[in-house]
Amino acid sequence: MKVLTFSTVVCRPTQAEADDYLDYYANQHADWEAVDNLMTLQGLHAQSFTKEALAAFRDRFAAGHGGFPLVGTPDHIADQLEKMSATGVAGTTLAFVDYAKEFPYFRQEVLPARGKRTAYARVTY
Amino acid sequence: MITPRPSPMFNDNKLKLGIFSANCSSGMAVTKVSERWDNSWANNIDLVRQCDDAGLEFMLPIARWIGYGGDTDFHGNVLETVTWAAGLAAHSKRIQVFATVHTAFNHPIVTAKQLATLDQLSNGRLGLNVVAGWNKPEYDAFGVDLPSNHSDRYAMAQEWFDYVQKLWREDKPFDWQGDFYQGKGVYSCPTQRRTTCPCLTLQRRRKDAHSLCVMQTFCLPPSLILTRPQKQSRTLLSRAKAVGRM
Repeated sequence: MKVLTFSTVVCRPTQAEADDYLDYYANQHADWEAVDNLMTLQGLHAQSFTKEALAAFRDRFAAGHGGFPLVGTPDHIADQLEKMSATGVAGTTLAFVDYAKEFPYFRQEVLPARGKRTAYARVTY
Repeated sequence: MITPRPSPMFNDNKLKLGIFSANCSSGMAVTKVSERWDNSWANNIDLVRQCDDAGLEFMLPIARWIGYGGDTDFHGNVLETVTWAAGLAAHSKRIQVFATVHTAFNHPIVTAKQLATLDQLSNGRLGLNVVAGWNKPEYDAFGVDLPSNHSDRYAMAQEWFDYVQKLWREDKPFDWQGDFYQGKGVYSCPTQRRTTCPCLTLQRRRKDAHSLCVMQTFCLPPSLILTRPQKQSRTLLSRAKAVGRM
C-alpha cells in the first residue's frame, strides 16, 4: 500500500501575486456558509477542536477543501513537492481554482524543473 | 484479447501527480469568485487532454449527491463518476482514470460489471476509489441509515470490496453469504483482466487505517491529519505490512 495526499495549487510568477490571489478567492470571496456546512458535516466543530485549530482549518477548507497549500512561485512549489516526496508519500492530487486555465502555467513552469529534481522526475511512457 | 498496458499508478515516477475533483462544481475551492471551476463536460475534456499530454498519472473524482449549500451550493452540481471516467478514458490515451464509488449506495454486482466494462473501454486504465460514505444528508436522500458506529460502516465497506474482487476473479457462478450481502448463483462476466487494479480509499480517521489497508493499494488521508507526514505515512505503511498489503 502507498499513501497519497491532496494539495491546492496557486502558482504565480511572484509569491506576492500568489498570496494576493489566495486572499482574494479564499478569504475575501470565500463562500463561508458552505465552508461551515462542509466542516460541520465532516465533524470539524467546536466540540472536538480548539478555536485556533478550527480557524486554521477554516482557511484551508475555503482554499481547497482542506488540502495542503502549494502557494507561490514555480520554484517554491517545486521545493514543496520535493519536500512532500521526502516524507514518503507516493503522490499528491492537485486542484486549481480554474483547472483548465491555470494548468498550462503549472505544466510549463513547475513540471520542467523535474530534470533537476529527482523527487518528482517524470518518465514518459 | 489485447493485453492491458501497465497502469501509470505503478510507473517509476517517485511522486505521482493527479487532478482531484474536476467533476464537481467549484472543484476544491469553496469560493464565490466568478472564475471558480465550471465542471462542464467540455471543460473536463479540455483538462484531461492537457493532463494526458503532460504525463500526469491520474484523474480522481469526488462522488457527491447533495451539495453543501451557501451562496454557491458548493458541490451541488457533480458529474457522476463512473460515466465521467468512461468519457474521460475515451478522450485520453495514457492517464489513469478513477471512478469513486460509495459502498452504501451501489450494489457490488453492478459496480463489478461497470468497472470490468471500463477496464475494456480504457484498455486497463481504470481505477476504483472506494468510499464508505459519511455525509448524513446523502444517506437521508438515499433513505439509508448512516451507521453511527464507524467500525460497522467499514466492516460493510470491506465486505463490499471483497465481494467486488471475487466477482472480478470468478468466472463460474458462486453463492455469497456475508453479513451485509447475500446472493445465489452470482457471477459477473466479463471479469477483470488485471490483478493489480489500482484501488484507493480516503482514510477518514486514524483508527480506520487497519481495515482500509486490507482493501487498498493506495490510501489518501486528509492532509489535516498529516501534520506529521513522515510518522503517519510510516504508521499506515507498517499497518499495511502487518495485514499483508505490501
